[in-house]
Amino acid sequence: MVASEEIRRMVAELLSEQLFAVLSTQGEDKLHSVLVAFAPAADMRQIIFVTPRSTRKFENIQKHNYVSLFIDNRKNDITDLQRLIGVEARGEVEEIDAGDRSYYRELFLAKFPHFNWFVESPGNAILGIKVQRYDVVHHFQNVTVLEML
Amino acid sequence: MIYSIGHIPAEQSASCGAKAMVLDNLQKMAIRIPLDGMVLSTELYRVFVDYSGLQADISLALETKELKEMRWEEVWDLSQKIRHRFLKTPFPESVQQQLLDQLEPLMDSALVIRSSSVFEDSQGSSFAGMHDSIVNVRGAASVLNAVKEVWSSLWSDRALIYFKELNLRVEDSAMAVVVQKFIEGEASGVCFTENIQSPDHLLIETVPGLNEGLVSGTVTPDRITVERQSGRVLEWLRQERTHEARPAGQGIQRVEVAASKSAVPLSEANIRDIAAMGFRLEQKFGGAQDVEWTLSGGALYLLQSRPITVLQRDETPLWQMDDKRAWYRTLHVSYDRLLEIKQEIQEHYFPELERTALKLAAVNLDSLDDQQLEEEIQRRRELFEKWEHTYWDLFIPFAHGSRLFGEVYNRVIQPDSPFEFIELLSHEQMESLRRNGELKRLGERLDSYPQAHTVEKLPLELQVELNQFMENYGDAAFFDTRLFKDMNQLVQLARRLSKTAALKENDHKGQMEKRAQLENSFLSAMQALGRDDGPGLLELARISYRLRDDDNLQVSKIQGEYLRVRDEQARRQGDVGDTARKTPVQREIPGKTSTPEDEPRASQGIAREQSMKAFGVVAGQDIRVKPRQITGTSASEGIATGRARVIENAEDLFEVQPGEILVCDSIDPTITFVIPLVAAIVERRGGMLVHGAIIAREYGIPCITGIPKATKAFQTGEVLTVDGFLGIVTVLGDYTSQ
Repeated sequence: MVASEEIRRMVAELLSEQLFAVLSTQGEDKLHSVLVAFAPAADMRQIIFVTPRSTRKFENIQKHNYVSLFIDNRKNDITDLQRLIGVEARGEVEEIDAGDRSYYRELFLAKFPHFNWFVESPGNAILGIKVQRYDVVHHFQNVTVLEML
Repeated sequence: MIYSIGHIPAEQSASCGAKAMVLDNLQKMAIRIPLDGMVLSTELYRVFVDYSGLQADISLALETKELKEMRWEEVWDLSQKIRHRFLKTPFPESVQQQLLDQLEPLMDSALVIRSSSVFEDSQGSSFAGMHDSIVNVRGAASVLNAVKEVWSSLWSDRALIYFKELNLRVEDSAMAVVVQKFIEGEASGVCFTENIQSPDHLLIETVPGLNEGLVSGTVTPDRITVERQSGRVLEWLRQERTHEARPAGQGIQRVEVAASKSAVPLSEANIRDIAAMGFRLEQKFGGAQDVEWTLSGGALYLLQSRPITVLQRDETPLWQMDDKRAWYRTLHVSYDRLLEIKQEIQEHYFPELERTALKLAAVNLDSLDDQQLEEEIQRRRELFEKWEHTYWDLFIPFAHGSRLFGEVYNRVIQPDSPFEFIELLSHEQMESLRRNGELKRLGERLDSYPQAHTVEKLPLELQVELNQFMENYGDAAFFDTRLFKDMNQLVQLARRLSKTAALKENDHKGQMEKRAQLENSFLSAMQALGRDDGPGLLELARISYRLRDDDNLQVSKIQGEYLRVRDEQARRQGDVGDTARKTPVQREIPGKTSTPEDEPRASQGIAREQSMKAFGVVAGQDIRVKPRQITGTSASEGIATGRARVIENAEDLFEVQPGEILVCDSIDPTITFVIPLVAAIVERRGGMLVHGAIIAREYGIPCITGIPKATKAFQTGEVLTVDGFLGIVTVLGDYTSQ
């Protein structure tokens, strides 16, 4: 049994270690999934990513701002099952206000220092998912929910 | 990948394991060992597991739950799953051909297939006995199976509980195998070149026939003490024996011998030879040796040699020690010892238990003054503790007879499921099932008096029947509580049970037919191997399976009698007067449910549990952790959805409603009277052969065992789905809308 503090730490480590995750958004009548580079806030309540405004995901978010982000540590190796973790973060996503932009820009660049050009590109937006819950799949079929109170 | 012993290239020493390298050395020293031995290096193991995809299977089996959290029974189950996969996986054709070609010079003899662990190389014999060796193997098919079996013993339950010390890892652990001619000795034994108790002496233990009887402890050895310096025999403690180990078809059997013919055919010259060989080995390997030998046709053969390991321990029983792993290792009781225990239990212990319980129940506590009552408490406490020791020393080891059968069954039949053998053991007439049947019949009789809400309002004859039930089962205990002390509670429960379906006759008939079919297959397969101990093994396993349930009920009666006298004392002192109102954790006596079998992890001593909460709000984080889906062991198949009823004390048992999911820490036969009511069982205690699993199969309901902290993970009233095929419990309720 993974203790509650241990599972929180497990998720925090995964968020910190993994560079990319699958973001799922909802269009008018279709779902859309895409890889994004992401950076978590230290308290795990917010996850930051950057996207051009011209993308389908950005367009979808304007209409439906409830998204799902799937992060995992797979290596595509069958013997890797013992350490495989998959986490779905769910919550509402919003564009970061100009006032907070500097803080979240630094947060993102701390993890991706070589993405400065991408963050600074005028057509791009910094977005933040306010995470409501994490569904954590570990030890093959165990699922534990972390609700952000 | 395959080398001749005596010619192992130096660069291959690491891949051939300790046993092979010792034998290689001995052959070079011209010490007589079985000739033409071969070693299959770890490389061959790797080819096999890589080619077959077994690595993924092992990885998946190990993934579902952390080893450090498993009880030994769960580890045994896990080991069976892995080992079963080895046996069911065919050799790649080219590997098989290569193997048989190279072993060709040995194939006209009976063989011994031995594990040669790479790990033991660096650790001496501390971990000896972790892996298997198979004696008297004949024919290509049996040899191939035996090689797979020895490989699979890398993942034996004994090895898995020491996984950390053995550095056991799917990706880089491997096993080498020694193949030698089988030597049928007229006398065999072990020689400790230095007696731990008196270092000036060398000690030989010897039996007529093969060593297997000595190693398993079922054939009493002669003990010969030799003065190291002079080589003089100082003492020869001779024993009369009734049995010795002899080869039988394939494998070994214990055969009866007349006491008058049970002397070890060993001369003083032989003893001198054994001692001399021991001293040579000491010199070669640089320390006292534990030498296994056999005498065949007057010639002395060395079978193996390893450093003597001194195990220091105090007098505490193994099952009471913090690290229970040494105790778990003792649970591999030999067939012969199990036969002895069976006789002891059936002829002595069970009748005495029953007599004791009856005698205690007959004591009129009202007639005792306070001083006498105090003495009675003391007497009963001592009695209970005595029986509890017997429970752990004899009853629990005997219960593992069904596992021994399972291992033989899986080896001989190689069934599709490693747990098929349980089908042959189920449906025995257990005391708990008789009790449940009586309770249901009582309930049906009570239905004729729906207005009688208390016992006093029932007709006298029904009151007598209820009293009779109470006499038979009334003082069974759960935690520190006598279960049926409140007759009105019993009446309500019986009424509820009357509405439940009886064990279905049709299903039962089908199950019995299947059981007969499997029984025939097993007995025929054993006969084909030249083994005539099939019926005995099966009978032993069935008794073991049944007594696993019955012994709990019997010992529980003694515990209940102890609680009865305690209740009487409390009543006189104007105290609460009811052990039922004490919380279960405030235990004053070491009841069965608090004893080591229930400790959650087989690997205690490696990782003791941290006092962290499994669920709830993470301290200082405002994050609530809730289970959505938890995986355990599928112990009885089926799928059910219902409201959870979490059992934390005896009172909860009487609240169980039809169709609920019973969630509990561990099920004892004393509480299985509620099982006919429930739709499924979820239990913290893990294993395929625990009480919860046994009773669930009898009633045909799903059961999942080994759910960590089950009573904390779920709450009474939550809707759960229990998938007894996959071993998954899912919390529904408010999650279904999301």
